[in-house]
Amino acid sequence: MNILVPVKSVVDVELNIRVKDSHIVEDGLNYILSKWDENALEAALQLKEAGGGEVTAVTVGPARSGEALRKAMAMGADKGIHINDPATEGSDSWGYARVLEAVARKGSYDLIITGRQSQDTDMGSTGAFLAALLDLPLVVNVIHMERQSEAGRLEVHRKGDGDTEVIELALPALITANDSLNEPRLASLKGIMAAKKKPLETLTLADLSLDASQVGAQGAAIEIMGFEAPPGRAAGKKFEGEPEEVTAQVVGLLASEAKIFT
Amino acid sequence: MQQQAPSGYDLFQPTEEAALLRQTVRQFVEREVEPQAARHEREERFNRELFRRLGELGLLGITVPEDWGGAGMDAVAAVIAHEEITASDPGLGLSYLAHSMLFVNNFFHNSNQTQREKYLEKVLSGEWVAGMCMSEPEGGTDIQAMRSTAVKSGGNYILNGRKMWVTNGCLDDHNPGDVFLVYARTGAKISTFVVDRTMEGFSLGQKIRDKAGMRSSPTAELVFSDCRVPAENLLGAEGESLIHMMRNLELERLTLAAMALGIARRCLDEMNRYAGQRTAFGQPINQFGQIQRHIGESYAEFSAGRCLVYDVARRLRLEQPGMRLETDAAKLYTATMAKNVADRAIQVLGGYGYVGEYSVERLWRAAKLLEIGGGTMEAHQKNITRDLSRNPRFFR
Repeated sequence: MNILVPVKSVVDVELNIRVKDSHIVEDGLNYILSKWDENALEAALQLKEAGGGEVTAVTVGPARSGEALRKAMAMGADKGIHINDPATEGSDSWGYARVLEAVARKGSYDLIITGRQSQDTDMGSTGAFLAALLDLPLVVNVIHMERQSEAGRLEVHRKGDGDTEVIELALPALITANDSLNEPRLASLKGIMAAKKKPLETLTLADLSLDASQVGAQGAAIEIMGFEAPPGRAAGKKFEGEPEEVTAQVVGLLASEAKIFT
Repeated sequence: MQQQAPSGYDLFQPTEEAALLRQTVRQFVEREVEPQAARHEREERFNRELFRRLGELGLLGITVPEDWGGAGMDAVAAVIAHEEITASDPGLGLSYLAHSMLFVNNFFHNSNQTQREKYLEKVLSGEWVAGMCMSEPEGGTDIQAMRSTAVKSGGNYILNGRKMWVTNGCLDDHNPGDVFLVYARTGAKISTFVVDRTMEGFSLGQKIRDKAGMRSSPTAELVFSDCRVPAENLLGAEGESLIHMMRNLELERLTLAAMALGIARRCLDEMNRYAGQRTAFGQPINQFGQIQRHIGESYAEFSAGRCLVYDVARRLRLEQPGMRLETDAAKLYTATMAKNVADRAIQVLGGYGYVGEYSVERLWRAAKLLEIGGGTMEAHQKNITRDLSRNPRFFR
């Protein structure tokens, strides 16, 4: 099975992110592979290990995004495709989906797996847009995957409202991965060294016959107006006095402020 | 908070592989090392399963070429791995060092094809736990005072003696570790032997209990009593031990210094966080000058030590010694730095710093070992002075 896994390099939220003049301060930021993309990649690697085939990781972004691709290859992806074109900057989910569509059409893939959302914008729409553009069946938020399906079909479970939906897909198809789908493997040291020798193709929009006006800030339907740091946490309340009085106060506030009894 | 250098050169992650390695080890540590660290330390127990995981990830053969099943990485990579593991579990860091640096790296560079085929796979996978035997009950730094002997008899060497302070010397209370490099006298000179657990006359003398720190790393006394070692297990030629030691010593000291960095970094992290949360007299304690001195000095000293260690690492060639002065200096400085930073961390955390739950007392106890093991402070001072006296124009 040939599988395409779009991955994204995102800001590591473990570090402090500072906002200045409505922009994120780039200095001192660290970029990592978006965590749901690791689940998508793990799912692809498991399918490949069970039934053969090839896993291709693809990313859209500047030079630094290449590190996310190397990590994907260190984890086990067979090759990488890096769309590095300044015209893609400022893309919204639709723009990214347009670029990924062009990449998918250049190859021949039985399955595309994306993370259910990226860790930075949390939009969760690129996978769905991509499926629409490619006219592929789509299942989002997959939490389990049966590895022994008959050829050309794949059984997946997704989290529905309160229960689990079991869906059989005809391939080619697109699924998006929930983080409970699997525990992504660590890149082994051998994987890290091997990643250097795996094929990494760098393409521009022209290579994909895409026009700069279709993607990036120009082609975006959504414009990010600015960023704001979240407000600091308000100080907690401390109650003092006899237990009866304190209990009455707490219950009163739970009803009037927290509104937990309504 | 690091601004990228205009040149793009990152001393701590000079290559993409180095950056990926740090990510991998850090993820591994968060998921699998940190949750077990305090418990194994408290119970003085070696975590054999976790050690095998180091093998699965490829960490045990980090400096062994890829052709031989290793990762084929450099000294910077070895430093990164030791720093990251030790920031969580110094005992595991020490056992990792004893296995992958004291045994594997030394063995690989000084062994022949047959010896590699016999042992390498077992130690790279973590199936076997390895170590090195140099110190004896009556002598450590003074190598010439070594008493253990190996006498050739037919196709064997008969090994007699006792070895002390052997990291990974035992796996539990009753079983010795699996394979060791053992230094012993063959006449006037010292030779190196590979001794494994299958050899008759090799046994566990005692597990050394009640160490101040590094208690998740097993330490033992090993006894060789008419131990028959096949002649093919002589490493290199008779009398070559000093060459073997010299070849390996620089990487050993450097990775011990990397352990010190891990300890210091974690302590700094803990005291910084605590000082921002804990309040006294109506404000966070990091608003007080006395606390600021602890944090400020710790950060400055840690940063100096980290730059020193990584600068030496990037210049160190695994196959070619020549950095004795620099590696001595790196360990001399960082061992005491780590101890001082850990001490300040306890001071900042007050009573909480003195109990196990907050980790810093465990790191503080571990730090002291680095002033003793793998070269005492006094040995480093002696070496540095000797090297400088021979080369007064040491600076470029």
